[in-house]
Amino acid sequence: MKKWTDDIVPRLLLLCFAVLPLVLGLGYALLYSFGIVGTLSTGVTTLYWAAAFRSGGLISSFVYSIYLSIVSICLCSFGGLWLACHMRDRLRQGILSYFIYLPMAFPAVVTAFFFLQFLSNAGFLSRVLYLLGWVHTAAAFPGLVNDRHDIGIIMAQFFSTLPVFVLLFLSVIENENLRGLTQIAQTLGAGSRQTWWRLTLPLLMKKSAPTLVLYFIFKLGSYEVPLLLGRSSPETISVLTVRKMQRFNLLDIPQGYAIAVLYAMVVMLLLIVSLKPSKQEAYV
Amino acid sequence: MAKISTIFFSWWKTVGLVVPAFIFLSCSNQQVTDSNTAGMSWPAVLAAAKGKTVVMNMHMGDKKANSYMHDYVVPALKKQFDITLTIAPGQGKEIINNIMSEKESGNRKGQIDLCWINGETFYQLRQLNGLYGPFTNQLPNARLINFSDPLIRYDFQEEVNGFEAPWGKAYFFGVTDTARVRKIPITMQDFSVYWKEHPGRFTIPQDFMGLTLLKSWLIELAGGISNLDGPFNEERYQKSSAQLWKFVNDNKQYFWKNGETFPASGTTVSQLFGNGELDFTFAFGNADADKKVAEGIYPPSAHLFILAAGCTSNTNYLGIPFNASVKPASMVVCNFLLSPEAQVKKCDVASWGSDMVLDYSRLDPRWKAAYDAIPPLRYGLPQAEIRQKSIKETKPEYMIRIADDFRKNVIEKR
Amino acid sequence: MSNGRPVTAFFVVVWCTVPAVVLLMLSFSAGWRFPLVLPASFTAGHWEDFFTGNSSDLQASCLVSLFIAAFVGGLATILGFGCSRWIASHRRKNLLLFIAYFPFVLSPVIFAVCLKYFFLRAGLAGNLAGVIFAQLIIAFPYSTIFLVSFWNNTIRNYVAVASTLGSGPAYINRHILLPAAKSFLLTCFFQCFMISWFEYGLTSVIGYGKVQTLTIKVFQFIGEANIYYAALSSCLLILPPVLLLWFNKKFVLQAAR
Repeated sequence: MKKWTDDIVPRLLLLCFAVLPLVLGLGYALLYSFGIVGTLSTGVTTLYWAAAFRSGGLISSFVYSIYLSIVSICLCSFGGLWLACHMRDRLRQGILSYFIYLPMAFPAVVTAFFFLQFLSNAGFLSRVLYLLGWVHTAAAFPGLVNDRHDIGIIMAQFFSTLPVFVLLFLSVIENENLRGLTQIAQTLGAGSRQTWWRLTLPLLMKKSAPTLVLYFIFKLGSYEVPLLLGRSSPETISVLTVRKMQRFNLLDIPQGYAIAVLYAMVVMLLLIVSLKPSKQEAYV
Repeated sequence: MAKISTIFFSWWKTVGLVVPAFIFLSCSNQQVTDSNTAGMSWPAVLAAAKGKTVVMNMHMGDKKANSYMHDYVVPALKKQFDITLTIAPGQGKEIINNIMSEKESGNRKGQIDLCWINGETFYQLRQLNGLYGPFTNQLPNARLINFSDPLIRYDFQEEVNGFEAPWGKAYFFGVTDTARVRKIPITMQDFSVYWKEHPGRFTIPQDFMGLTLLKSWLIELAGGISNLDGPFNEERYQKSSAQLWKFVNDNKQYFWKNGETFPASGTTVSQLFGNGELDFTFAFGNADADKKVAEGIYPPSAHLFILAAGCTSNTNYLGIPFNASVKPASMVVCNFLLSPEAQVKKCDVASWGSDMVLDYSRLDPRWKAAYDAIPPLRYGLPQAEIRQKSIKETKPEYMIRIADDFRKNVIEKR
Repeated sequence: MSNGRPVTAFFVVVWCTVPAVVLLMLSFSAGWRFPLVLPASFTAGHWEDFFTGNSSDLQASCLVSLFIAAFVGGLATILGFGCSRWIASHRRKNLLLFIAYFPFVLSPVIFAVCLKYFFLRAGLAGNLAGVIFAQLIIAFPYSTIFLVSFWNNTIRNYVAVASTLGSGPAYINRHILLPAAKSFLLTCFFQCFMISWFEYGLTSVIGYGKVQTLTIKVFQFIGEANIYYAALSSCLLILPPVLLLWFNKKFVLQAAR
């Protein structure tokens, strides 16, 4: 027996909480970036898009964000894979099974704040080294936040995402009955190296690929960590967008919306790539 | 169990209908209280302000200022006027952006009722018609202010015209540590010599503190404030700013982190100075070193100095957004902040340590005595020296251009 | 081979616990000046300020955060459960899920600046209702996606068997679906709770800095260089997730991004 609300309510909810915000938000950003709406509106113009591309901040920001995300995801994959394969039993029980997940209790802003206090020139690590007599002034400590090599950002991202990846690989190993498959392979005469490269790794990667892309998207949009630990230039996409929106020079605001639209398109592409072909859900 | 089952299987649709309905209703049901105060008598303003909540945007980079507001102003307003004051962080660009968004969305019931502004923010808000006014002549305590004082009458050379109420005076200083810096650099030439001898010990914050420093250098390059006085002069700006960016770019390799990054705020720079990572920081206010030494942020050997261009002096103000929903209450808050009680307390380093905006000669003997009883500054420079070296602010366009060009020509240039 | 050396395990534990320990230490510190590793003195003063309500409205922020998170968590779970059931049996399930993923993966702060105009128009900026609605835009799609996996074949077969045997829908709901879904729902609630508890971007833009959740406070304290209060509010922020982790790992594990 179907009631009239059975179909209406879910549709209404999806519309209200997913479709409408998206369509309205991106639609507004698109219109604003072409000068169609807004205080500065003077009719349709591609001026702001051209300016956004010309200023150089845009391209370098996308490249920089993609670079940071790839590095973080790769590091977390290596770390997670290594831990999941080498410490499987410890990660299932005992104290490690609690402590490994502790970073998940940290919101991004707290992670960023901690690494700021830990890695800066006058931070905790620098003081420990001073105590050991390795550095003699705060300035002598190699700057690890707001630094040229983005060590602060990458470490913070690694810290907060590693447990997610450990968990991911553990659950893939479990669900795909890797232990059984490995045994079969070895019974059939495969060496351990061969088993790893030909069986374990490809299987793990294939199964976790959608999640990896999903986390890549998350990292691409991260805000608090690069805001506090990054340099003043280049900036990540989120930081750049927000800064463009808040300038004394009001002509930068439409550029901010243009960047937002571009970012949303990139995310949509990535999402299509990650979710469509596998026809399966990521491990969220 | 039965209850929970009902929630998840029967009620969820009701909830699913109620929530969107609530949102829809809130869209169509925006009550607007017209709170224009023009022509209202002060008792009427007081009566209209009673029981209201005022949201104030302020720069919250100063712990002392924050606790002055939170621990003294908020309870006093509640007690004396039954007004609840909520402080939300927000300054300059954020305020402009918020008021502009509210204008664009046709929002007539503003989110912010009072904001702490000056200079380029005031200028941009006036351009956007974002400020309510004139209102200052309605404040009883305005009689204690000398509006013919050019430092108060003009905000970055823009006439205030009653659209913002002066709140405090500020002077721009360099801060250094005499234990580390024997010969204090004053001119740009001195600085470049110092940087080369002590690389990595200097940086420029990206907020108003750093922009004021850059502006001081621009004035020095232009050959004094008289050459940048009056309306914005593109030609002069181009000439002097080209030299300025060249100067900064030529030297930034000797800055903190090789000039590859610049701290977001003056607060951070002061922290780095306190930690001993930097030899210089900057301050708005003669009491800065007294305050920060007492807090243990600066070393006891901290020292204020005036740059070669002179001591940039300005006034900071309180403005009411055009769409503030409780304008009478905003005005009562303004008036309280301009009261001798609040102003004298504000001067005391123990509470905030900011220069008074009231005219001393107009105070009652009681408040004159209270003002005189404030312990003198240990680190502050003599008033006579400040007065002698004081220079006015340039037109706001200079600040806006410097902000843009600093990013374009220095920060983003490798 | 799959057990690793104790020494490695020790380093992993240190890496994961040092942040919490340092933040806790800072929240009890006074005069932590370079080059002191430990502060000049330990003090319970900051925590006393917090418990006596003396500390820049931190208590209020704590309550606001808890309220928003509980509300968002509860609502998202209730609505997501029903919606996921509908989606799970929909013929265009994949497309619907794709749509649901999108708001969930977008950078909240970019999403927020694009939506600010509409929130202002709707009178939903700068107030609790607006922040809750904004966070639901992330939490509701998340709970829907999460709960879709509950409606798998096994569950559908149970329902089919039960109704063949003559059970009414109410009986099935109460005695089959709910017991089976209980742990899913609880997990979903806590995860949505955490999404809201951790949220900064949407809350700061839509809340106008007026809805002062704990994450907003941390930023504010960092801005005024008040590291002890920033550390204290950080400790407050990590406390509930740590407790949940201790209580039941599952509740936390999937929420963190």
